[in-house]
Parts: sequence; C-alpha cells; structure tokens
Amino acid sequence: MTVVEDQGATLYEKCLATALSSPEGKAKLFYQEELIAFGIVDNVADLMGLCQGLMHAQLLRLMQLDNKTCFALRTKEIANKVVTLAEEERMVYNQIENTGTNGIWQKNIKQRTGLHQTAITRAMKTLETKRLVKQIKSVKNPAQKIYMLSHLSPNEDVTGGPWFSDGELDIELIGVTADAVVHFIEKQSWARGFVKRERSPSPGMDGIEEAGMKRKRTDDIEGVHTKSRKRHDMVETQISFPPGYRGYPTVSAIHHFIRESGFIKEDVVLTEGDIKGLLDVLVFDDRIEQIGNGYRTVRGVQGATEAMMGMVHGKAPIDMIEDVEGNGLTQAPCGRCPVFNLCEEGGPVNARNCEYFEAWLRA
Amino acid sequence: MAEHHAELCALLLRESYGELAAQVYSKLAHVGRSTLPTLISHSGLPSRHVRIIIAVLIQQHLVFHYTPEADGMTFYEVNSENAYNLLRSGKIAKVVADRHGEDAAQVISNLMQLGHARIDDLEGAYKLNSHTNGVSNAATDHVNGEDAASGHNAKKITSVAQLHSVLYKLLKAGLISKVRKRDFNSVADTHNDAETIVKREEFPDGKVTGPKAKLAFDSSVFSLKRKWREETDAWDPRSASRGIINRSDGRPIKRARVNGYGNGVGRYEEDEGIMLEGDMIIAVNYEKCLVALRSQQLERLAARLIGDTTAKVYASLLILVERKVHRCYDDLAVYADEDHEAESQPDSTTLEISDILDPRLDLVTSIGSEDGPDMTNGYHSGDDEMGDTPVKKENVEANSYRDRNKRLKLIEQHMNLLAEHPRRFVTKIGSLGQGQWRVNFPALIKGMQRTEIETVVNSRFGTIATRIVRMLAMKGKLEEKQLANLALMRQKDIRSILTNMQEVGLVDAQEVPKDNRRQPSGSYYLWYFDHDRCRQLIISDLYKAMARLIQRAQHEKDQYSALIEKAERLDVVGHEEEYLTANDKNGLREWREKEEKLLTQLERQDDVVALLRDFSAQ
Ligand code: SF4
Repeated sequence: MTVVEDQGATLYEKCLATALSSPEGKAKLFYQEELIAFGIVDNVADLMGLCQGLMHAQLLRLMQLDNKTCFALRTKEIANKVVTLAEEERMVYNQIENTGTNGIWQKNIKQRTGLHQTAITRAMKTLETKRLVKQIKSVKNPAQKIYMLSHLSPNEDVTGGPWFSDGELDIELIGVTADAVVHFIEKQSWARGFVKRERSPSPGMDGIEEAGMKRKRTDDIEGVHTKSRKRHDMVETQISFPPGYRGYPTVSAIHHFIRESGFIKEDVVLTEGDIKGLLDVLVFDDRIEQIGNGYRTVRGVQGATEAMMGMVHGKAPIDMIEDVEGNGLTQAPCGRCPVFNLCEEGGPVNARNCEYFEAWLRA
Repeated sequence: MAEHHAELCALLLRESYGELAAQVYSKLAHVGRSTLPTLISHSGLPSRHVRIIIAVLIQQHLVFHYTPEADGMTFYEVNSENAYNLLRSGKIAKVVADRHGEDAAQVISNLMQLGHARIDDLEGAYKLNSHTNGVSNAATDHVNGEDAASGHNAKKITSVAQLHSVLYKLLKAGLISKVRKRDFNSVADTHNDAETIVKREEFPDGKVTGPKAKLAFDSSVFSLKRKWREETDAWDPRSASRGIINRSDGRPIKRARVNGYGNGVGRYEEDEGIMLEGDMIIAVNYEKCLVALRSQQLERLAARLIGDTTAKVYASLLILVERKVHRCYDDLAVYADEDHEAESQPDSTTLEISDILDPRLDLVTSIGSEDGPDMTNGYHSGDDEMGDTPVKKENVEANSYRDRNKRLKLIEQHMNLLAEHPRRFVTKIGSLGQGQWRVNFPALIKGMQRTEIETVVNSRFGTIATRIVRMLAMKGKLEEKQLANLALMRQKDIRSILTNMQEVGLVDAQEVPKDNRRQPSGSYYLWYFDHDRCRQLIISDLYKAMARLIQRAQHEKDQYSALIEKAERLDVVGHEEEYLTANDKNGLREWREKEEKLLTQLERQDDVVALLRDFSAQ
C-alpha cells in the first residue's frame, strides 16, 4: 500500500468513527475544514488528493450544500458494489442516493439524469438485483412508485410514521399495540384492595333491623363499635394509590415499553410524539386518563376498545357497537329502536304492539 | 321536543289525576297561555268540568294563573316543569329518606301529592293522636315508584311535635319552602310584572325609546327580578317559628355529639320542639331537591371512577356546599367569564367534612400503599383501631386528639384524590380548616353531560364515533384529514361514521370555501360538535322514550287487569293464600316484575334528563 493509499484509508476510518459518534450517524456530512483538522495532511491540495482517491473507490462522494462543497461517506460494502456499476447505472444511483430518506419518483430521475426511459428501466433493474435500491410506497401518493437506497428507512413524510406499513395506516398494528399499552398501564394504575359490600338482606331477615341499617347515617354514633355482626362480604376491587403517587407510567416509560416489546420494527423511528398520539387516542377512548405526570387506566378498564380489537380482526369500525353499561336511554328498547321516529300512540307502530318491548321485558 | 314533552306530561297527569285532567292539561299546553273561556271553547269539554279541573291543577301547581293589574282577565298556562316533576316524586322521597329519615320522606311525599298545604291543614290530614296513621296513600300511584309496602316498618309521623320538627328540618334544608303569591305565576308573568313596575316607576310616560333607555330599562327589570329572588332566598325558617313546644313523649332533646368530633354541627341541634306558624303555606321546593339529586349523581360518578369511600367523603362535602346554594345554577347571576363563574362556586373545609362524615367509615383501607402495586397494603394493621392496646388514662385525651388529627389527614387524602382526578371533582382553594375545597359545578356538569352524550353516540355508532366526538369536543373544529390523523384512523373509515352522525345531528360540518368562487369542489369542511344541540336532541328523545315506557306499563297493566282487580278486592286483601291460585300469584309476580323493570328504566331516564336539562343553564 502506498503512503497515499494508507493516508486515504486513515482519513476514511477517521471520518467513519467521527460520523458514527455524531448525532447524524452515517449520514454526517464533512466539510473541508473538518477533514484538515484530522491532521493527516497539512494542506488542502494533499487533502483533495486523498479525497479524489476515496471518491474513485466510491467510498466518498462529493456534494454541494449551501454552495459549499462537502463530502458524504459510503460504507465499504456499498462502495464495492457501486464500483462495479456502469456509467448510466451510477447516474441513476446517485440521483436516488441524493434524495436520502425522502426517496425519488422515476420521472424525477429521468428529468435529472436526462437519460432515456429504457435506459433508466434497465439501470433500475440492475440496481434492484444488486440490492442497492428498493421500491417503496408513499402515504402521499400510494399509486406512484418511489425509489430509495436499500439500507435506508423511509422517513416519516414518506411512511406516515410508525403506524404505517407499506404506505397504509396499519390498523392491526395500532390495535395490538394499544391493547398492550393499556394492559401495561393497568398493572401500575391501581392497588388491589378489598372493600366491604353489604350483603343483600336474606329473605328471613327482620324488617326492623333492615330499616335500621338503611338509616345508619342518622343513628347515634354511640352505636359505632357495637355492630360487629358480619353483614358484608369482602370484595376485591381497584383502589386508588395515595394522592400525589408518582408510580404511574409516564410517556417515556410507555415509549420504552413499546420499543422493548417489539411491536414496532427496530428500524422504525418512534418518537415520544408518536406515543403521545397513541395515548391521546386511548384517552379519547376513555381507556386511560392523565394523572400527575403519567397515565393510569380508567377504573375498571381492562384493554383497548372492542372496536379497536375488532378492527384488528378485519371488522369495519361501524359494526362495532360496544356493549358497555350505557344509560337509561341506551338500555331501553326505544333508545335503540330502528323505527323510533315512526312510533306514536295510535299509529301503526306503538308502545302497545311493540315487539322490541316484548323481547326486552322477557329478557 | 315540545310535543314529546307535552305527551309525556299528559300521561303523567292521567296516571295521577285521571283522564279528564290529562285532557284539560293537554289542551292548555296546546293553546298556550289563555283565558278560561278560550280554553273551554278549545277543549270541547263541558265548562263546569274544565273549571273544576283547572282549580285542582292550580292547587297542584300544575297550572299557573295570572291576572294582570290592568284588566281583570285571568290567564292560565301549564306549569310543564311541575308536571314533569310528578315523575320525580319517588326519587325525591328516596333522597329525603336517606338524609332525613323515613318520616321526612313521608311528609315530603304527602306534600308532593297535595301540591301545597297550610301547616294546620297538614296537621289535620295526619289525624294525629287518633289511631289512623298518616294521610291516605291512594294517590300514590306506581309512576311515583313509591312502593307503599316498603315503608311498613318505617318511622311514621305520630305526633304534632314530630311533624313540626320534620317540617322545620326540611324548611332549613330548603327542600320545602314557604309558598308565595308569585309561585303561582309563570316565569314570563313574573317578568311582565317586573316590566310593568319598572315602567311605572322609572319611565312615567310609559315610553322606552332609544337604545340607551332600553338598556337602562332592561337592567332595572333584571335588578328587580334579582331583588325578588334574593328576598325569597333570604327567608329564614326561624322567622316562621311560633315558639318551642315540649316533646309530647317526654324524651330528652338529643344533644349534639360529645365525643370530640362534633362542635354543634350535629343533626339534632335545635330542630326539636320548634312549632311553626299554622297558617303558613308550604310546598316542595323542587329547585333545591334537584341540588340534592345533582349531589347524588356526582357521588355516584366518584364512586365509579375513584371508589366508594372517597365518594362518601365527597358526598359529605356536597351536602355542606348544598347549604350554601338555593338552586343548581342561578340564571339571574352575572359572571364576567367562566373563571369568574368557577370562583363563585361554593366551598367547604376538611374540618367541616369531618364533622358530618360517618365516623364509622373506614378511610384507611380504601387507599393503596405508596410503594406501588406489588406491595401489600401495609396500612391495615391494628394500630389504627382505637382502643386495641391498653392506654393510660392520661393519654386518653391526647389520643383522642391524635385520632382526630389522623382522621383529618385521611379525609384530606381522599379530597386530594378527588382534586387530582382529571374530572377535577374538587379544587383546593386554601388551607383554611385543614384544606378548603371548592366544587366547580358548571365544569363538572358539562363533563358529565358530555359523557352522557357520548354514551348515546356509543350505543348508536360505536366507540370510534365516540372517539371522534370527544376529539371534536376537546379540539374544536377539524378537517376530515386532521381528524383521521389524530384518531389514528383511515380517512375512508371515519367518513361514513361522520356522515351517519351528521344525518341525525350529533355532529355537523361547516363549509369553508378555499377561494371566492365558492364552488363545492373548491371547499373544505370543518367538522364540529355542538354540545347544547346534542343535549337538546337527546332530551327530546328521552321525553319520547319515557312516554313509551309509561304507555307500555299501562298496556301491561291492562293485560293483567282482571288479576290485579281480583288481588285488590277487599275480601282478598289479607287473605291472599285462600283466594289466589298458584297461577294467579305467578301472573301477579310476572306483572310486578315487568312493571318494576319499566319503572326502573323510567327513573334512570329521568336521571339523564336531570343531568342534561336541569343541572346546568340551558
Ligand atoms: S315503543 Fe317500540 S317501536 Fe316504539 S320506539 Fe319504543 S321500541 Fe320502538
């Protein structure tokens, strides 16, 4: 290896190490000053020589940013493949590479390279077989194919965020993640406690005593400790943690849980904003509530809504009418009656001949 | 809405006062405010009947009457609120029984049946000191949900002293009140009165011209109405006392609690022995009863969302703040803004709560351990039970203070649970009295109303629809796309839900043109949720559904009429075993079960009406 080759290799290694420890990672761009600062050579001309060599080996590529020249890295693995590309293929590759995680439409490649469509199609085929580029779907324009380097993950503008798969909102993924999140939160939301539930009076019970119990609020308090006969059962229930309790899961704890549980693919960016969005939905669904600086489940809630779970299994959202407790209206036949608007006293449909009532009263 | 309400009220009147009363009421509701001759000619009923019925309905506070000062013609108008209240009497009696005992419940039930009564007449009606017990219950029909049998062991009114003491208690609680002439006038009539007076006194030429004069006029009318209300509200039942009588049974007057918890705020302080003026006329104060029903619903919600014990502590606070208000909301109050309204809401303190809270209530085991879900509850050990370990005499007093302070701390904990809950059941506004707590009713009630609307949305359109409604309610107007993004739904999936809800009026969309060509294709739509509109829609449905429940109950009763008649025959009552066959009994049980189911539902629907219509400003 020549000295120059050696120096070139050192420069590349330095760049790679710097890039990997930088916040941008492999996508870090280097300006001339930074490269000089590595101290491998002491003048710009020599530096340019080294860069030339690396560019030739396809390990480095030249870019323009704000009218300044800068350099970007390629991994050795990719560089080795790019070296073998023909001229037209490389032109196409460069265009795709330049658009980074946004991807590029075929017609834009055509515009920018000035190549003929057939040439592009051919080049594209090679690039795809060499696994250098891939096709992806964009949420913005699902019909249009866009291209991106294989090792990149499309950014959120393209994918729509972590809840999208192949450019479509992944209802199933949202459903199972939501359900898991609710269970996760639930475990830390309430203490288990036992409460006394007064037994319903047995049939033979003395009526006077019964009335006496009902009135206990107005009784004399002297009677407090005398009524020790057992009139209640202990029932397990969710009891509240003390006020100001700090053990409720926070957004970042929930973030961590989702990451760790593997619902979302490793390479997908999952921001706290994404988590907050999901938690908001669960708040709207009355599954969880904000408390202190965290979340807890609404008392009694066990998981995601049936509608959410139903959609996981391919049901239409409109089909899912939750069988929740409801109120006086929704539980009565008229509250759910399909002919409510037609029903009137003396009319063909009325409360007297109503079948819904018949069924409801028998139930 | 009005039509369903009128149908419902007519049904209620028929149940209580018969077919003729229902007919007259319906006619009057239909023609609106009118004179007797007009009503008679519209009713197609014999004028003698109409006159009698109108007199009865006035006594029952179901019809307003008003004679303008100028000419002597009297106008009549239905009191639809009170007509509706017929349905609520059972519920009101129950809450009174819970708080003030069965004897008070009996008195208030009787008053509801009578409409209004003079104290002396009421005394007479109970035929006290003779052996018959209480007034006839014949008018207590099943719509009231008052099962006469359930009270067979209850404390009855047996002496004049007891009656007066109960009445005084109810007057102090505001659940009944002194009847004034103005109570027979409708809101509109009162308003007209105020206008007449202001015109006469401030605008002697009778003309209110120009915007400035109009403004002055309106504000004077408003002030006068406020003044009247304040006068009524300020009335103190003590002023109606004509002295103290000795208890006829010779038992000593109960003292306030003596164990260190009480400081004279006990229930029995001065009610005993008070004798009220015999010619005072009293009636049920439904406005104040509603306040109690509101407290009940809030307590129920807290029980569901936090726990029974915390809810009981809350109920004590609610009872305390009830003492400071006369009605659920004051339509004659002026607030600068929402914050001002919130700040004007009533409050009370931890100390006061501890005075009225059931001392047997276990405040410890209902709160979990600080150490998290995996720890067993360490609180529930013997050290909280008073008197578990033998104590030295000199420590007794210190211990009683210590126990009291411990209990105050616990109450404060429960209050803090209520305060930190997202519903904000209470707000801490100071540390006076070991913590001063305010209940922001307008915000709380609005939240509960929305929950109720969501329940209806949920039952008709599912949880995704509910999610959308909640989002719109919280975030305001949103485009379909924003909605889909926030709801984590596909646009195509929420579109149909939105249009379905729009069809029935639960949500609506506003068209916003992108340019000034105003073409539909060039517009986008902002979806929104209108709280008050939804309330009205659901109330209207409720009236109709309630009418159907009553009609069905009537129908069921008709089906079993032969059986019911047989069971009610004088020779059968008390000899059921002899006269009723197994089949008869089965049939009767069947009917009772059906009736019970229908009436329970009716009460629960009324809960929703109360929440949506009566607990907040319209
Ligand atoms: S009575 Fe029957 S038909 Fe009429 S609205 Fe009710 S359920 Fe429907």
